[in-house]
Amino acid sequence: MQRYQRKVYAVAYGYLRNQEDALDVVQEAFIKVHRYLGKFEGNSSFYTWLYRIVTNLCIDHLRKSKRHRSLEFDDKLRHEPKGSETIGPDHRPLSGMGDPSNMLQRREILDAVQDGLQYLSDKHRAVIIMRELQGMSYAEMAQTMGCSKGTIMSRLFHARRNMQKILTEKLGYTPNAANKTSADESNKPLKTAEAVMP
Amino acid sequence: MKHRTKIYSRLLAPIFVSSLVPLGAMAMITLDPAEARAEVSSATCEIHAVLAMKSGDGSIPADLDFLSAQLRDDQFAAFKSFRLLDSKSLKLKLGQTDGASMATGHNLKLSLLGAEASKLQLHAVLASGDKVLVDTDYKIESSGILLIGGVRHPDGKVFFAIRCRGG
Amino acid sequence: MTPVSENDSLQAYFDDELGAEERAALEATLAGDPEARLSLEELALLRQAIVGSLEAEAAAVPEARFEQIWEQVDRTLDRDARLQQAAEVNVSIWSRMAAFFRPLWVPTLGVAAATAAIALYVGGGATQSAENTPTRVASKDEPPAEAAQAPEKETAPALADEGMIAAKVADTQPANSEAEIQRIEFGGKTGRIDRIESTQGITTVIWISEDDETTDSERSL
Repeated sequence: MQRYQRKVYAVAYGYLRNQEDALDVVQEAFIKVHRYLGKFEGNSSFYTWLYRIVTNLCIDHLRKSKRHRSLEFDDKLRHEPKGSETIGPDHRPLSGMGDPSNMLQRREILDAVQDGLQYLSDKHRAVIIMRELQGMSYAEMAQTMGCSKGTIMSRLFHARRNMQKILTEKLGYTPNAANKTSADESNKPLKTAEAVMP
Repeated sequence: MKHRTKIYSRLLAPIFVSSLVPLGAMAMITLDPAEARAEVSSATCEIHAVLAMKSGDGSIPADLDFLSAQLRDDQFAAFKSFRLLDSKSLKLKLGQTDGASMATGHNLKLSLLGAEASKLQLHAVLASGDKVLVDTDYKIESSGILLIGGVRHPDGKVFFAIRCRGG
Repeated sequence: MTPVSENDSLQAYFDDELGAEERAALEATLAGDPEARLSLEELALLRQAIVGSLEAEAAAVPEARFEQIWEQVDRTLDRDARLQQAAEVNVSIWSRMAAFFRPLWVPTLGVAAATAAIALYVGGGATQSAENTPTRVASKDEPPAEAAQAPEKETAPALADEGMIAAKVADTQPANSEAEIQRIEFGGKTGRIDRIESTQGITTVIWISEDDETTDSERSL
């Protein structure tokens, strides 16, 4: 079970943005997993089961803590002019950051992402974590958040766009056509943390 | 010292009882007889058979809205989708037993053992063919739900939600 | 041509949420839309950056901190096991009280009987009414009028907090609806009684396991 601890922590930290809160959730999640292990059958969906427990704990935690965000993007976006939702070149901060394989070695990128997650609303951050880190489908996300798939799609679109805007602000836009890679290779979703993490 | 303790013990009980019994008797006298007799003699029970599956789109269908909060609990986290297989209704009279044959092949027998105010006392027996899976007596608030589950099914596990309303 | 990047389809394509037909159609469009391909690339980089950043955060947590967590998990599970064992051999409070008062029964019963007789005599009129109250079984033919008005505690559906969790339940159950299991026998070797605390109050769950070997186990709670 220990081998999942950092994956679970990464998810919890993604939602909660606080190390101690995330560690509390990790602890509670593993206690629950042990308690209910007898009710779990098969290994194929163990990740799903574990992640669902963590997600529920995090959402409960967020609901209880009702933290106030210094910046909410939802309202701001609603007042943006029509047509501004297109992701243009000024909202592609990462494409201009050089070799993608070295991207994760660059501290400023990792820090900018953390800042971005910090400034997102709880809902936007939740859809980002569910999709990018946990690999949940739209239907699973809709069930977890108690809304329609359409709402999830819209929320995810805005959440990603907000992240891109924050990253652009933090990193600056540096067009770098030379480093463009084929979009065809990136159109398959990464298998999230399961595949990426050791 | 030991002797004194014994005397104290002998005195304690009469004092205790003589103060409690009159209080109890006065309560009986002053209690509104209607409240004391707030009993029901029948109950209407709904039995729902719910299939919990490990695959699916993760949604809870509208006909299971009444159970959605429970099905989202971590105890059901191993399941990705749910389907209402069958629903039956029983009208129980006090002291009588009635049974529902569910589409899953299970039989659920319910008896109303008693009812006080808004609480019902029930006897439930869930069987698969001749084999009894669970046999229980329980008390529950009218409209409260009891879940019995974990029964094998080709597509997952079946849970039975029993909800009885007094009167 | 309308760029596909203005369409939700691009995101759904990136998230592998399109059907085969839609996917093929979008791929055909992508071939002639370099802007959309760049947007896809950016989405992939964003995903990579988010996953990598959170992994880096997780990697920075000292192993000792996780060891503390596992120690706490072990302690909690040990405590669970001890509580479970204690519950199984637990003697009811009434049995304990009976044992405490056992040497004092004779004098107390005398006083109790005398006091009760006086009390019943004083309240004769009212107890007469109580005597007319049908017993549970006798009352089954004609329920008392009050019974028809027996209140059903219906709690208002809990509001979802900021829309994070849906709490749409058409027919709610009482908040305090935990079942009091008075007797239970499992047909299989094992079974378990659990509870769910949700926005709909407490729900009791009886988990049964189907084993071929039938064993009776009784557990009074």
